[in-house]
Amino acid sequence: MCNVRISKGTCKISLENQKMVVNPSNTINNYYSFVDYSIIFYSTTRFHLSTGVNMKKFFKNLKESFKIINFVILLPIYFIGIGLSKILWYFSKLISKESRNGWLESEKLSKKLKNYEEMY
Amino acid sequence: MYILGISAYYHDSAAALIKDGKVITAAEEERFTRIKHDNSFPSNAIDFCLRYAGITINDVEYIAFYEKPLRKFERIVQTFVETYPFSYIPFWRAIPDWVTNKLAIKSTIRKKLGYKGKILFVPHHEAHAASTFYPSPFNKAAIFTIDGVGEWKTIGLYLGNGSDIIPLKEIHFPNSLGLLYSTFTAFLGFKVNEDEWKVMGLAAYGKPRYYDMISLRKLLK
Repeated sequence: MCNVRISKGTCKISLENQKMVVNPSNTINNYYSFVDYSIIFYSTTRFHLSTGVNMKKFFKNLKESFKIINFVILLPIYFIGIGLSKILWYFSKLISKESRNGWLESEKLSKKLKNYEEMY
Repeated sequence: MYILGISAYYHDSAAALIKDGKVITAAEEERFTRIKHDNSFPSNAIDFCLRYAGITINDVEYIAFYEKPLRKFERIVQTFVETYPFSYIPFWRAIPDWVTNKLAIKSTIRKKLGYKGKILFVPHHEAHAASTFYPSPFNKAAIFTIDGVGEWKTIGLYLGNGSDIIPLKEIHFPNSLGLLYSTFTAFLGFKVNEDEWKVMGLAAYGKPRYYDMISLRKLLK
């Protein structure tokens, strides 16, 4: 018997006498775990389809589970986006003579508060 | 004047409260959540600092964050590009966290704390330099920061003079003594950003059998 409860930010999965608590937000913080989301997705789907109750809740849980879609988005971003950037970077490096090696002269720290408000 | 310092979303989230240039309290989030090296937003630590000082968030003039997130993101993306296609797994692990948390730090601070004042982003190594020079008894001193990596900087040399910190020279990523230390930590089977202190402690009990092989003179030119 598989029982799944998803409250805000936490997913509790009971498999017979064994209990497991998965916290998706914490999982993201501690480096995204594909396996954890797979477990949530599989368990929620199977549970709700087998019982056939509360479809609204099912879709809400499904939306949460579809954070896994990040995987589908990130794959093309990486291989196309970063790949193209790599080509551009390679050519720019041929032109640029900028070096990050050795001691570099530091820029003066800004005394303007405005510059510290910038995230860059 | 109160200034609240925050570090979050890397390792060991924490908060510190400064009143008129003096640190009056500081706390790590892991002490409240009981999660070792907790890197979540330090709501509990901030709450503790404010309660300790008997103030509310509206009494805080500035909130200072410990790094420039966009500059660090630039370095991370550039590293992904340079190490393509071998950087896919680190990319997949890091990007969701960056998109959901780290790049949105400004709005997260405002939303979670209900804060309307100014938020400042201090360069990582300058924050280290300030944390060692300002509480020291010296009015003038050389400051040397060696870290894994901040935004780009891995080592910084500064001159502290009164209330000024003057940057002199710096070394940039990927040349990093701190990351070299972390690499050896990982090589020995320990966790990076967690167990470096164990390597340091155990070193005193060992014999320098591999000294010639890993001599810094050979590694660092």
